[in-house]
Amino acid sequence: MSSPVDKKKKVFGKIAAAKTLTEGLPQLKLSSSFESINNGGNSISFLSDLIKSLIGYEALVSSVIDILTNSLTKIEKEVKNALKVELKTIVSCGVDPQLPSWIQSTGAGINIEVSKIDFLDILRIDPNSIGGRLLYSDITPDLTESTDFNTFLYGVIQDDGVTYNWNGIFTITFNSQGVGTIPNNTLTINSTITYDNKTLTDLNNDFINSLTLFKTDNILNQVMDIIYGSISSTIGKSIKQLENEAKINGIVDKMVNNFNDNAIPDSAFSFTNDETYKQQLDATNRNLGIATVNLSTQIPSTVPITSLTDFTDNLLTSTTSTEKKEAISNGLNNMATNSVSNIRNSVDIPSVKLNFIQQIINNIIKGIISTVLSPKVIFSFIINYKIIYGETATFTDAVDFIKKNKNLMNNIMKRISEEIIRILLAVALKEIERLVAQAVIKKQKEKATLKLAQLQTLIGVPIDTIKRITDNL
Amino acid sequence: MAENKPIQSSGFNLRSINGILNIILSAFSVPETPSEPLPPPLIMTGAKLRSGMSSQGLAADIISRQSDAGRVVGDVFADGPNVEEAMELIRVQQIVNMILNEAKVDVVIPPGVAVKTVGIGNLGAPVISQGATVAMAIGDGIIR
Repeated sequence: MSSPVDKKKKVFGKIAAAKTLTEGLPQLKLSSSFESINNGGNSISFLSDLIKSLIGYEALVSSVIDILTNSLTKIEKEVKNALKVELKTIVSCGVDPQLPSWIQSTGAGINIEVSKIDFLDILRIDPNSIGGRLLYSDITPDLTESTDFNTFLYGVIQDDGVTYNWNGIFTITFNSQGVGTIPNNTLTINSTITYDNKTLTDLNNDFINSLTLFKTDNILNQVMDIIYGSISSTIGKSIKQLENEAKINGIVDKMVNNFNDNAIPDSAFSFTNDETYKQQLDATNRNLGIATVNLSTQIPSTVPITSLTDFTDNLLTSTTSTEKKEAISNGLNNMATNSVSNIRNSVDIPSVKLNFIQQIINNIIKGIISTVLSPKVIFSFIINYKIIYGETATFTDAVDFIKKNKNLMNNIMKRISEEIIRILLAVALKEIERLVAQAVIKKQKEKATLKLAQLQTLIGVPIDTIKRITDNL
Repeated sequence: MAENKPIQSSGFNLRSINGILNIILSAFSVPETPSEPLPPPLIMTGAKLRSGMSSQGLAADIISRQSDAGRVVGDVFADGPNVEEAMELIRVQQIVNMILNEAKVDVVIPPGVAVKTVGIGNLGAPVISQGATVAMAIGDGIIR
């Protein structure tokens, strides 16, 4: 059986052959610019390279819009199902599926340090700040009335000692000062009276159903921050925080590249010196708000936070689906234009813009995973871990969370990836179909012309006359 | 901590790169129709009019079209004689020589071909009979 790299080369070879038939001389170059031509299992990266070579900028923009609008609802449903199944697996490890009395409405509650559910320091960002507006959703005047759990939690933390109710499921109180063994900056959580006679699985399912996980603007803003550090550089995230995020992104990359294998190798959680150096470089660049573009020299590329706020404002004021798609399209074009503002040679601009859109597609999974690793999802997992394994059970950081839930994370990434692949594959196949149909027509025409030419040679038509026809095929 | 068991996922399997590559590669497979044979009487008379292959003529034709592919035609002042054109001539000569001197054509006449034969009857008069070949006939040929 051929290796993936041989098959990938064969695909590009077939395209080159079809293009030679339809356009004359070969134009497609199989060069190192196609980073996906390797034995890796990252199908999204390969498909985006394929679409890039087959069609170009507009097709990639249209694919991004499709993913961010039509697919996000389906991805949310898939991820929620995966979360529920995994939480049920955790619950099945416990002896009693009933809620313990201490978490019920009249119990002492579960105490969780804010830092143990906020690995990416989201709750340190004010939703009303310039960066916060891009990362939180449903920012209501009174934050505790938001339908977004992260925004709600930020509101709870601002009101020390006051108890708030989340959708009739949990009551949550923030205490900045610890008492006895309870540390400072802790959330005390109880289920509401509705769940006193229900199971932990009921509580989990209702909580997951109450969440809004993914919003188009948040995901695109996260992706732009991962690539360009547009938000991180503005809100002053530390190099250490950004190195931690680069490490998480590195793990996501390794897991995506290993989709062909069922088991997640331990090597996904360890890094070589080169990989660590790259993570440090990424962190430094994001801290500066730049990404580097490799032309004849390395050129810094930026997407300023203002283009993200403009995009977010436009999207939030759009009502119809057409208006939303237009807002995303305009936002992407505006960001792409910003990303090439330092490019002096106009010849390079189209390819750098093309790479900009391709980078978005290649980083969408990371943008979605950032949301999965935010308090709204971790909150539920840590409650379950404490109920099943005791008060001290916790996750040290995001990497520890991914490691202890690697099948869940792998499963989520595969489901997200499947949705994105479906869209990209449809675009690629449609174009291949068009190209192959053109090639078949051209081949049939050529065969007919050659047959006619051959017949003419047999009835004595001069060869120079025939060449005039056949040379221009 | 909970044991991490693989979770069943929904839907059509698009997860393996090999699966995706196979889908894409299959999109290129288009069945082709076989070409129809040329009329035999025309070949019989027309083949005699053909001049045969010429390596020099073929090389000349290729070189004359070099500019279509963006290659330099003729000698380049700074680089001396055009080595690529010389190489083209050698390549074509070798190919044509191989075809003319070593290629072989096997011709197969399938069974069931209608034939008409003329023979001498008992009274000395010609007798025409009709029939069909019953076995394959194999013939040799060379390319000119």
